[in-house]
Formats: sequence, structure tokens, C-alpha cells
Amino acid sequence: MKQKDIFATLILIMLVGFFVCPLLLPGRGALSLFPKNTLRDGNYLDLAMIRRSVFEDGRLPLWAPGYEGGIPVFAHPAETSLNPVSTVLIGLFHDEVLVDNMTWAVFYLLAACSMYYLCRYVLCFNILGALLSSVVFSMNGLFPYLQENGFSEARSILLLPLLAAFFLKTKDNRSFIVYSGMILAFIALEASLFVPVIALFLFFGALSDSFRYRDHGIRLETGAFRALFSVLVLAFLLACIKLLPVFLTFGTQVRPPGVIYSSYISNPNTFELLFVRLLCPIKAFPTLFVGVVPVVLCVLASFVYFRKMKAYVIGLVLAVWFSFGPNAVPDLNKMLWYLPFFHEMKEIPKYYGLFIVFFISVLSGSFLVFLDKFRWRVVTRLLGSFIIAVVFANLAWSNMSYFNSFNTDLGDIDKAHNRDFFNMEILNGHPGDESIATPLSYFLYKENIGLINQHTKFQDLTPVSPRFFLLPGYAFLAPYTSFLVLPNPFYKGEAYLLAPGSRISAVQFSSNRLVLDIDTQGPDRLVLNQNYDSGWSVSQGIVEKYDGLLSVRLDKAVHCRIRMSYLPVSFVLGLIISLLALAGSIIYLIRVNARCRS
Amino acid sequence: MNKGSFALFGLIWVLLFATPVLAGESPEPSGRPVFQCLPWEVGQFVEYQVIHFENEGGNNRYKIALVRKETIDGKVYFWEQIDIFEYVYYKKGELFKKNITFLALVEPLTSDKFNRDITRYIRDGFLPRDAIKLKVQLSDGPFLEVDPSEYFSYQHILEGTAYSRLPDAMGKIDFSRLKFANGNEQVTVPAGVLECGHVLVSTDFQKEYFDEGFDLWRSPKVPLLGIVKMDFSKTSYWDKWFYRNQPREIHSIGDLFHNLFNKRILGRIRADTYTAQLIDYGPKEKR
Repeated sequence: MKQKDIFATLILIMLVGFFVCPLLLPGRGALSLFPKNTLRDGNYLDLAMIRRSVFEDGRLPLWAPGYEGGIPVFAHPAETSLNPVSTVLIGLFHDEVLVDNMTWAVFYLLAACSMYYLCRYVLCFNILGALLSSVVFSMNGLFPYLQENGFSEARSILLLPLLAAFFLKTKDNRSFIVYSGMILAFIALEASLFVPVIALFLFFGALSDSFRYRDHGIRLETGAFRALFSVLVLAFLLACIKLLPVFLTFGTQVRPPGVIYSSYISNPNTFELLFVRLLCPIKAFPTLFVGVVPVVLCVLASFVYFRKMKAYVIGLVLAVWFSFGPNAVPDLNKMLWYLPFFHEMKEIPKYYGLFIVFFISVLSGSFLVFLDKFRWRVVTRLLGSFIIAVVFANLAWSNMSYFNSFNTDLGDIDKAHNRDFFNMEILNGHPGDESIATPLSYFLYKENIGLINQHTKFQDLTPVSPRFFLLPGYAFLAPYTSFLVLPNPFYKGEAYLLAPGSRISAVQFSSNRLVLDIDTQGPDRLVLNQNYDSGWSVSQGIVEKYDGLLSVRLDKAVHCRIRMSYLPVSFVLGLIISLLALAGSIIYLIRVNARCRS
Repeated sequence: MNKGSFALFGLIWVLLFATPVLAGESPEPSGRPVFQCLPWEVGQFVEYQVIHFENEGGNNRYKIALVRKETIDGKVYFWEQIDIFEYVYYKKGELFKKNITFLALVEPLTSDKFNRDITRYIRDGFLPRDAIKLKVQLSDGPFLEVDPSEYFSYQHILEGTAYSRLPDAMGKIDFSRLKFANGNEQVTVPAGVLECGHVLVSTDFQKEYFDEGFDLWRSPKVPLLGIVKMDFSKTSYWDKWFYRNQPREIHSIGDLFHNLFNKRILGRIRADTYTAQLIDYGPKEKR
């Protein structure tokens, strides 16, 4: 690395560091002083669960009894427990808000450095061009929007430029197949819903690289496709710990019957919306705010450097087209909607918006190559620096304020009052319910209370019975939106026995484990108020499904403590495959490095 | 003025104030209109729909009907059935699913009761907090009788959590600011065009929370509470948004930092106006 690049990287870290510094400021003000979107970040719940499960109970959080009536945690595509950065930080700091902010800050800095690496060392931009691309990509409005709206899983997609850089380098060096696979696997560990879209654009990238005009004809070269296939297979193997449970659950899960595509897809782009999203801060959501200058530079680069940057221009056009969803003819997104995973993507501009901002970042930086063509170096450098300063100020000014709502002082939130676990369910929720359900589920978790409908869309229907319903006041034509707590008269308890005379004296719920003291007179059935899953085992009796619920068939009288534990085959198998793939990748890289040295 | 005429004058004033009290009527604050309520009868019903800017959770319906009459110790009560339907917006076919039904035995509402405690009837809506008997039904399952006094006593579970400190939970209406519009207003709702009295609590954009105001229109022709339309959680949300988010003019470095670190109202484009409107009622007045 040259001295100039080290200097440029330091400047970049300073710029992006200034951008993310509000995230790291200590909590200011009380919770109630904040505007309505406080605590929208769904990751607080995941972090609280990791904290309790890993650092207090000493177990991996495989089963979450309070999520939608009990779900296998790793099978959820947007669950963030496997992010090593946040897991280590929560172990160190024990503060969900601080750790979430720190993790995002780390990824913003990684995004800037990744983009600099891609532009400078792979696409061979000049320093100013690489700096501009890095600033635009790491400081655009999409990521603060995703953070603010609770899509914490999306932070790992900030590594997209690094993935693109490694993938482009696979042409020259095969060991980059392993690096690309590792980065894609890292993204898949928490943002598995973004992986199909990333794979789609890698496919387009490979496609654009495969057709070459040579000897007066167009020839197909399959090298990029082979590299792509290898990367995808390796990434799948490395992320099997996550992807295997996800595939087994979501791969086979079909949409609820009767879903209308056009109603299901939310906020698709139109030309007007796209311009508003790109050019106006905090006007339309999801925002993709990059400002006028990068857009103008991107358009100029698309014409002036089309031959050199055609893959990126075509990529940008495709990303925009996909983001139009039902507003485009033909509707490219609908063609994908019938595939597994793609039909889980509801707010499509946020998925395709990632690529829109990525291509705009790259293309806008590429235009600064024109500065090299002039003789007066000092003037051109000043002009380039001025452009970067304008873009930085515009993005910082507009997007930095997002971070203020994350400096939340939670006060005495850790003082739990409720020790007996049970679930609640929101009935007739009001608009934008995620914004209510997300903080509510976090606060309830702190009180050892689960929320059945957290809007994670994991299950369309659950047989689990809540102990309390939460009904908004206006359901009774009363003029308020906060919830009334109404007991469910049909609630039978979190665990019960079907035969009369039998009794349960103690029930303990924790992640992956249930402990019950049971006394039955004869054969009986123990019913747990949790979703059934085949990964459960029991110290006595046979685990069975009973009306969709988890149950244990007891063939004889029992007067003892029963322990149930959760360890699904998909997780064990996935863990073994991931570890073997990781070991194989490391051995391969060591051997390749040794061969290169010799 | 001698003692006799003073006593006579005092007696007249006492009688003037005491008559409505003795007759079971409350004195009306000056300038407040007197609202009329349709006498309750079995078969009366009202159906409302909540509409707002976004589809999510919107279009939910609420039907309230008087289904039976019951006399206990010579006093007449009515069984009020409250059906709560949820609109599943992204599905075709069955769009409304009934989530929960409350069957409450309640005292009939009279014009006098309504006028005496208008705040309570607006604040609680149809919440059957004072029911003599209460039955609950989930979806289309069986009804189960519950103890009404115990049924509404679990609010502390939520109030004990930090949720109660969120603006969504905190936005309370200050009923001391209740106002009554002069004269009647014509209100158009899906159920028709109705001549309505207008009750409101106004707010301004400098107030901290967004749902502390409301507008309610009610008609004496509509049974039960007479509600025709209700807007709430509105309170010039966008005015507030701009008020809070507008950057300061920069005269000093302090202003620059204020703009950079100012706490702003973020979020999606949401009108934040919940409008409950009458979509049907009956029996309608014969023409």
C-alpha cells in the first residue's frame, strides 16, 4: 500500500468516523423525550436474547420461546445472533443500544474501506475517485434508513464492495473464490434474504464478463460462471449453520394462499419516487439519498466512460428496473417472486436500492478519472477535493441526524418485574405496527413476556394461545392508539396435562430448555404452549405434535422432573458442514500462500 | 336590601340551581350544546371502519349492536355485542376475519347521562368497563363469561414496562381542553350525510406528542353513542415534523452543531390520522 493510499484511507476513516460519531455519543435525555420512532431497531431484542442466553445461561439461543409462540432462532433469515462483532461486543458491554450502535459504526467504516479497496485496487480509479465512491456508498441514506427502521441484519451488506472486489479478482487469482465465499457467507449469516439478490447481480456480473468480442465474433467464456458457482457453493457450505435451517423452513414455505402480488409488494419505485428517493433527504421511504452531485457524475460517467463501465451502467439500469416492481413493464421482480426467498421480499426498493446506491457510488467515482487528463494537477486536485467535500457535507448534513434517535437512555429497563413466562398477542394492530411491535417486544422480553405477532412473518398462523391480548384503544372507538391489556379467557397455561387430576408444579422456560415438575395418575399428555418443532427431545415420554403445539406423550404415571431440550438436526448438521468448510477453506488458503511463496 | 329580601333572593338562586339536580339533571356549562341520544332498543347497531394513510392495519371494522334486553331487579339492561374485525389487506377472498367479540350487559345510555359525563363516554368509547356481565368469544368459538371488574384490571402489566414511556403509549388527551363547535355541521360518511354536533380537543404543532387531539362528530339519529366520525392522533403531524426538523439559520458554530445533532422526528410518510367513520347503522329513520 502506497503512502498516498494510507493517507487517503486515514482521511476516509476520519470523514466516515465523523459521520457515525453521533452513534457513539452517550445516551442523552430520557426515553420519553424522544420522537415516535425511538427504539425501532429490532436488533435490541436479538442482542438482549444473546446476552441472556449466552452470557447468563451459557447456551446458544437456538429456540426463542417468546418469538411468535416459539421459533427456531437460526431458521429466521433476519435473525442477527450469528454476527460475531455484535456478539463479542454485547459480551463486553452488556448494553444493547450501545452495542448495536457500535456494530453499525464498525460496518459503516468497513463499507468505506471496502469501497476504497474496490475502486482503487480492483477498478484502478484515482485516489479522489475512490474517495468519492467510498463516501457516497458509506454515507448514503439507505443504510441509516435500514438501521432506523430496524433492519439490523442489513448492516452486513455494507460489505458488498468487498465481495464485489474479491469476486472480480477471482479472474486472476483463484484463492479469491474462497475470500468471496467467506464474505458472502458472512452476509448470509444475518442477511440471508439479501443473498438471493446479491447472487442475482453477481450472475449479471458474470454474464457481462462472459461475452467477449474476439476474432470478429462474440465468444462465450465460462470462467466467471464457474467462479460464481464455486463462490455460491462455498458460501452455502460456510453458512450452512444458518442456511440449512433457513432453507428447511423457508425453502419449503409457500406464501399464504390468496396473496395478491401488487398489494403485497410495498413502496415500489416510480420515476418520480426514484428521483425523490435519490435527491431529497427524508422525503420518501426507503430513502436512497445520495444527493445531486453523485447522480450527475454517475450520469456523466455512464455516457463518457460507457465502454469501460458498461457492466455497472447495465447493472444500475437492471437494479432500477427491478425496483419498479409492478410499476415496470415487464415486471422483472414478479418473475422472481415465484422463487423461494424472493417471495419473502416485501419492500423491494430496499433490496434493489442497495445495488442502485452501489452502482451510483462506483460510477460517480469513476467520472473523477477525467481529472487525470488535465495538466494542472493542483487545480484538478482542488476541484476533486471540493467535489468530495460538497458530497460529504451534503450526505453528513442530511443523513447524520438519523443517528440521534439511537442515543436512547433506557434507564431502569433491566429491572424485570415478571418472572413467569407467558405470551401476549396484538389484535387489530394499527398502521406501521412494526414500529410499535418492535420496541414492545423488546420491553416485554425484558419482563420475560413473549409477543406472538412480532411481525417477523415467520409464521402466518400460530396455534399458541396468548395469556393476554393487546387491543388498541380505538378498537372501542376510544380516541387513542395505545394498548389495552385484556386477558384471554381461553388460556390454559404455558404447560398443562390433559387428564384430570394430573398437575404441574413448576415450569421454567429458557432458551433451548424447559423444566417441569409433573405428577400424573396414569398415561397422560403434557401440552406445551409452544409451536411444535421436531428438534425437541425429552427426558421421559415421546415428543409429539398436538394441534400444532409441542406435546409429550406419557405412557405411564410420572412423578418427577421432566427436562426438555432443543437441538435440531438441521443446526447440528449445518454446524458440522460449516466447520468442515471453514477448515477446508483455511487449509486451502494456507497451501496456496505457501505455493506462491515457494 | 333587608334580611327578608336577601333570604328570598338567596332562596330563588338555590332553587334555580337545585331544580335540575333534584330532577336528575346536571347543570350545563355555559355555551355547551345539549346532545341528544337515541333511546336504546334491541336491534340497533352501528358499524365503523378505521381508515388512514397506509394500508397496514387499516380498514379494520367494529360492529356494535344491541342484541337482547334483560331486566334485573326491575332495572332494564341491554346486551351490547362488540365485534372486532381485522382486515387482511394483502389477501383476496375473505378479507375480514373476526378476531374477538365482547358481549356486555350494560345500562342503557340516555341523553342525560351522556351530557352529564361527556368526557367519560368519549374517553372510553364502547369499552364495557362498567358492564354487569361480560362474555368473550374468540373468532367463532364459544362465549365464555368473565368477571368484568377483574377483566379490565391488567393494565399494570404494560404500564410496568418501558413501553408506557413511548410516545405511542403516552399520547393522552387533555379533556380539560374539550371544546364544542357552534351549530351543526354536515358530515359525509359511507353511511350517508348526517347533521352532526362537533366536539374537539385541538392541539398545536409545538406540543410534544402527536396524538393528544381529536375531533368527534355525533348525530342524534345514530344509535348508541351517536358517533358518526372521529379523527384522532392527527394534530398537525407534518407541521410538527417540519417544526422539529427545520434547521436553524447558522449564525454560530453552535447552530451548526444544533442542526447536525438536533433530535428529529424521523420515520416513514405516515399521515398519522386515524379516522373512524360510520359505515352503517340501523334501524334508520323512516322517511
